Amino acid sequence: MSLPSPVDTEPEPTVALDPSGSRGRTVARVVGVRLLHAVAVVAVAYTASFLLLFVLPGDAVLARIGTTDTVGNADLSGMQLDSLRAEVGLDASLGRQYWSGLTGLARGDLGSSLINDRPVTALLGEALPNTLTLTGLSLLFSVPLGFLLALVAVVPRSRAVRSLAALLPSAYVSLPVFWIGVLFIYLFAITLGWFPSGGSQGAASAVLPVAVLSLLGAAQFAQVLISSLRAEVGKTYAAVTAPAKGAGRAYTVFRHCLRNAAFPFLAVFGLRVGALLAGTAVVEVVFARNGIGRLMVESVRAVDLTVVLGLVVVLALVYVVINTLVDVGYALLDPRLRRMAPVRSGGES
Amino acid sequence: MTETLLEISDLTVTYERGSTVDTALAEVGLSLRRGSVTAVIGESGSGKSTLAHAVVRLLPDNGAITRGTVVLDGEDVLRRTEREFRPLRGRHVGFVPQDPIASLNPTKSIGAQVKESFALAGSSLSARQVEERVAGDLRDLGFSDPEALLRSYPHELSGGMRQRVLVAIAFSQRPQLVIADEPTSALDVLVGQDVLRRLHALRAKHGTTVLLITHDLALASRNADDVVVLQRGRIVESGPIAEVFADPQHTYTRSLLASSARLVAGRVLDVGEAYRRFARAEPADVATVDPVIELAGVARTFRAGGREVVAVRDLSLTVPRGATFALVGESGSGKTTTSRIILGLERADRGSVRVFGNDVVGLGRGGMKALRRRMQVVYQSPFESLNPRLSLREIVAEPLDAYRVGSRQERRARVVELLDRVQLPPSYAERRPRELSGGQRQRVAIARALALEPELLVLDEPVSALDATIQAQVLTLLTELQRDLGLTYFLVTHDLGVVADVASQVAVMRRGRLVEHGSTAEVVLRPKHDYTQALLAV
Repeated sequence: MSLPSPVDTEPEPTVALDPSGSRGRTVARVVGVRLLHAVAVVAVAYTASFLLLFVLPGDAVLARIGTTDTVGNADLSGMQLDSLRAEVGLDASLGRQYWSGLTGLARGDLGSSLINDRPVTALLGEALPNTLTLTGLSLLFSVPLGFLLALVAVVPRSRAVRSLAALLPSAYVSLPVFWIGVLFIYLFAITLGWFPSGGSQGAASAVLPVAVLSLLGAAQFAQVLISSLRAEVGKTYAAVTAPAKGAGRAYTVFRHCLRNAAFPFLAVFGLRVGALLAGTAVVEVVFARNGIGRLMVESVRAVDLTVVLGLVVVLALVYVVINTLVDVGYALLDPRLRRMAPVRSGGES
Repeated sequence: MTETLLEISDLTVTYERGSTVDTALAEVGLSLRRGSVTAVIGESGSGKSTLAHAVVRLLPDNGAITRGTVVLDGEDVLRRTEREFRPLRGRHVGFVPQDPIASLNPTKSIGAQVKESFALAGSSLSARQVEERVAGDLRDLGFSDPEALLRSYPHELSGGMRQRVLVAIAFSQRPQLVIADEPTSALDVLVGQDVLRRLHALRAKHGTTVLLITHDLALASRNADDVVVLQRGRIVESGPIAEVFADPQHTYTRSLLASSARLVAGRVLDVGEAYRRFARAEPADVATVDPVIELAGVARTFRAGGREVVAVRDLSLTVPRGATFALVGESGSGKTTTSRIILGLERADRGSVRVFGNDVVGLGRGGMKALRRRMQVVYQSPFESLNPRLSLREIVAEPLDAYRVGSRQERRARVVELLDRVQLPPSYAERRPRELSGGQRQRVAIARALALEPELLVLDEPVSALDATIQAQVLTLLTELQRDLGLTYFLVTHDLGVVADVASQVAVMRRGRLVEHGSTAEVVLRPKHDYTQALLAV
């Protein structure tokens, strides 16, 4: 029985219905835009690093024979630097070097190391699996751990428990990664002897680096989640509507707030993965593990242009992939974004 | 079963704010008769909302009930622990919150949020029975297609629809008591009226007792049996609403009633009656010979994400010098877009916009700057339109600084003069906005708008965020300023009742079009369009 309204003040809900068939086209367009975006990101990253590396003093040839300090100024010209440079292609004009690098990139050829002549792809192939394992494992642990910490910092009734749980992540992220690495080596490798202090061989060698990185990631994720969860818990739907239906605090947080609090988390997830990769570089050096981070540090030190550029391309790709995953995550979590597609009957209940 | 459902006595609630403890409610006592509607009225800060939340024990973390009893159906529920109290919520006491936008979870479907109430209350109904009850309630609330509604998400619904969903949630478990905390204050007038009417129908059907928190006296008078008047956390008067409103005993109740032009001797006047009694504006002897604003065939369409929203379509109007022109419409009617077009903050797609004879559309940066000097704006929310970090002196002097008017000394003197104009003491110059009440803040916003000696003020809902008593004061101030300074007002509002007695001309806007326009007397006393008539009947 519906009462007549004096005036039709409000339209009934209009649910956006796309004409069928346009969904496939939409997906194709989204994928196309994504790919274009990926190519643009890689090209820009490549170009920027190329220019930056040329501003740096010295080059691979100088680095190989030592710096001017060690050789002295005296006889540099007589050392056939130019022929050495010609050998690795450093004599060509800037534009030509850039262009040949870029076209190589398009073919999937990243060139060879200026230091030891090995193909960059081979170097990356050796280093990448180690790093991906390290980063992947630490993400696997740090995301749930971060959520757990955040929930402990928000759900319990005891203010003391909440405050303590909120304090831990901030305290942890303010410690430098290398210091924690060294501390872990001292404690668990040297004093207790549970795990090896470094190296890349065997599962045991991964435990300490993964622990250091997981805790770092968890602390960073928890910081973001704590602030967004607190904000959600304070909003009326969680502070009044849900409890007024008879919901308890834990129910409200889990069933109502967690999903909404995850949006800011997703937004920084991409950035945090970047931070985690940077953390990986430090950890790899501290624990003497092979990997992208260590390769990067060594290549920059040696001004090994092609390897550094290859690494930049790989890292740019990783960023693009992560950001795409983040966007997919948004679409999965937020029904408002999904509603662009035709509405299925039922809905959640 | 006794006659009384809820008996509150000696209830005291405090808020901890830093090192100080504020008392929000002091020794409050009231009782609700079974099946009655009791209105709690008072100005903002009087503790109305605190009372609503204290009954269901949903106070913010820093709030605490320090004393008193709340006897629901013969049991003092304050003796219960939080865990024991929880089953009462939803099942025995329903709650309709104030802000329909923030009160629904944006990422859960309406169906999930409505049906969740049954699971949380441990309802014994089968899934099918739940479906039927929800669909029936939603139909009672005016939704013709409950299935589609349940599949939708909050962002797809208007404010009024969301508020009706929240009413459905509150009534879903057939509680004995429903507390409605300002259920219509965030809605347009007609929409709010509709929501309340449907809430009433549902209440009558199920014999529910209702505690209605409101600052709107006309609304209380129309909807409640009893009334409780709160002033600074204390009850100053209570009783059957007809008696209290007809013969108020306490001075505060009297001043509250006097502030509402719509209430006379306990009776609510409609806008027309109130206008006849109280009209302040002189009949329009303002001729159209010297128009300040001329809009002709103005249209504006917004496009976003493949969707088109026509905000303004083919709008023409003329505002003569010295007039108070009220543009009335509900949210989404295009009235704000129109005011932004006049201010040059928004571009019209079509049509001509002339202000002081200048074509705003074709005006360059310099011309616009010169024009802005002659027209200034006062916004709705005095809480958001003032930078909280600046002192009042800096706020009021800002336009003077921007246009480099006078020396430093002259500007200082001018600020004091402007504060005096809006009846604020010179000592306020060094204060910051948070030390001021809403009404005082709006005075500051007006002083700032006057700084450059404009000829035209665009007033965007200048009083709708204020209490009734304060509304009257600010409107009086605006009338005086207009008389003294010869200003022209372009007033945008959703509530015709509030401005009818200060406006000389009224234009009613709906869905981007003017449906009616003329002198206030014409429009208010002899409305031609159905929509205007509905607005006036509120």
